[in-house]
Amino acid sequence: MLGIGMVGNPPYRQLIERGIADPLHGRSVLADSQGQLSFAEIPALLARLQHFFVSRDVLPPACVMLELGNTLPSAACALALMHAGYELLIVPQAGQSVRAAGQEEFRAPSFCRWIITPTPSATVATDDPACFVSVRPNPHFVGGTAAEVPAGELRQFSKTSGSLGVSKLVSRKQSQSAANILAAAQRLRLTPEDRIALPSPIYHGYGMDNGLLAGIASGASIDLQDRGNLLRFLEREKQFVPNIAYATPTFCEALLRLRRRPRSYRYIVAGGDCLAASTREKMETLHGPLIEGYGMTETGLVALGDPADASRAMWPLPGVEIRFAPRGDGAESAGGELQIISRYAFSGYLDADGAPIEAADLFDGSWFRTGDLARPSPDGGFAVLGRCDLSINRNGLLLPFADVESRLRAVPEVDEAVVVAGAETIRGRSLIAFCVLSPRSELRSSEVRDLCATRLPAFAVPDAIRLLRNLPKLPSGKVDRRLLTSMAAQPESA
Amino acid sequence: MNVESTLKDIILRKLPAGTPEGEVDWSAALTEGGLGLDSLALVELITEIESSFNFMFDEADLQMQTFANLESLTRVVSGHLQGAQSQ
Repeated sequence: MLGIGMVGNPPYRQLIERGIADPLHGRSVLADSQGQLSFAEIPALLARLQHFFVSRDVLPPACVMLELGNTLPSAACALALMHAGYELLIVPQAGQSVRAAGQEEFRAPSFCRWIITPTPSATVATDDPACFVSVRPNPHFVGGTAAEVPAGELRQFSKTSGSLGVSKLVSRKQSQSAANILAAAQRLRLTPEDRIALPSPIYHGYGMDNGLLAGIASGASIDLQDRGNLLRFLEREKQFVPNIAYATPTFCEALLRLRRRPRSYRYIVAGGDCLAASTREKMETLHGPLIEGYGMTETGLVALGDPADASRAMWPLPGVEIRFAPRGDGAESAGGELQIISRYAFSGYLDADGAPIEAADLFDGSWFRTGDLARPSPDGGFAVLGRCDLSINRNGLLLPFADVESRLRAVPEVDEAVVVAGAETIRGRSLIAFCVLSPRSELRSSEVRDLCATRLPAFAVPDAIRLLRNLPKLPSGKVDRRLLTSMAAQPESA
Repeated sequence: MNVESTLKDIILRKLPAGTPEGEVDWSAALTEGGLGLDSLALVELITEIESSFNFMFDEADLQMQTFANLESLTRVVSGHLQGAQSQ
């Protein structure tokens, strides 16, 4: 299938061929809400797409920004481009990402030549790919050295999931990513008999690497479910009959609210955040084994449980070393900061012009600092306890308190602001802000909240604002966050 | 209690912040593309409906069709209440 301009032996080609070129996998399917494709039909579809891109002058290894959702057109484009050896930046398809109010529309980086947009609800069962994908040149393309493939090593780019700060791109070698995916597929013991329900978005590493690509490489059938809709997930249980599902802890908690009768799975994979012990127990009672996974955009997939392992512990993948570094801030914690050396890790961060962004503070020697607290588990493996630094996971996005606090302080008449995590809700921990107003201010807390709602994206607006005359301080002069956190857990006195 | 108006109140509370009440199109889909309820809001909606009306949806009800719009939801909820009354 080598065609014009194709880079010899792209790293993803072998991975994909492992799945689609094996005649034993011919009856496995790739499905979405509109229809399905057998693996036997995929090679011809990829060839049609690759021919289509070349006819539009979109030639490998040019960097392409690819907008993805959990649909067949999206998956077909991703597979075709990976197979042919293009450099890729994967982003959510329009309308999928949670964009902050006041945050600019994400601009394609200047080293990305093309923007490829699959049409979500189109069918791929057509001879003309123009029916389900559109291509346009990136108006901001400048080229230059950033657009050149370094030493023939194709790269893959992703946006970090930081939510309020400046967008950074994570750059990884495709060869490392492909090896990572294969290691995950082997750890998960995926087979052609497996049928995977995938509500996790494929514009994130978790859904793409762990889910779609590991599944394809193993010859497993996959049901792409768009927008993580729980009701659709339940409907598809009856229609697609999955024996494996990928979920996040938030999805699990929502599923538990709606599940009435047990429904058994070979296993369900949960990744993306810490799983509460009670959630794990309920999930296992209703569904069977729950396998946890841990990874970051920067490190790739770090650890996964093994379905054959009754202890349900999460183990580092081969090629990954971990350690637990004591935090050194005197805080009593049961573990240390999880640090990683991985053969699958990123090469570095880039800005929108392809210039490297300094990241030395994220490393302790060669060890990458994840910023997550973790400890070894009694039965082997390890468990993640939560973020080290002051931030919470909110609607799936990482929200540093410092960012919310600085925007609160920018509200006129707010002198001081401190944000803490409150009680658990279905969306994650609630966000409680304590504010000290200027002496003559007559603002009410509801007014402060309205004012900060114009300065913050909806998911970052505190659930409640409590006004204090002054903030409690420790002898060191630092704000006593522990006291504020326990105050946040109490209902507000009138 | 009037099923439809109670459901409207519950739905209004789940709409993304900033949706003006007077402008809600009650014939529209409840989810993305219509009123914009995301998956989490849908689950909260289901929980609140069950507690307000004191019944539980069957698994058979928990499909996109039930939550297509206010009318379909009202029909399913009313059906449960009538079923309960006739026992």
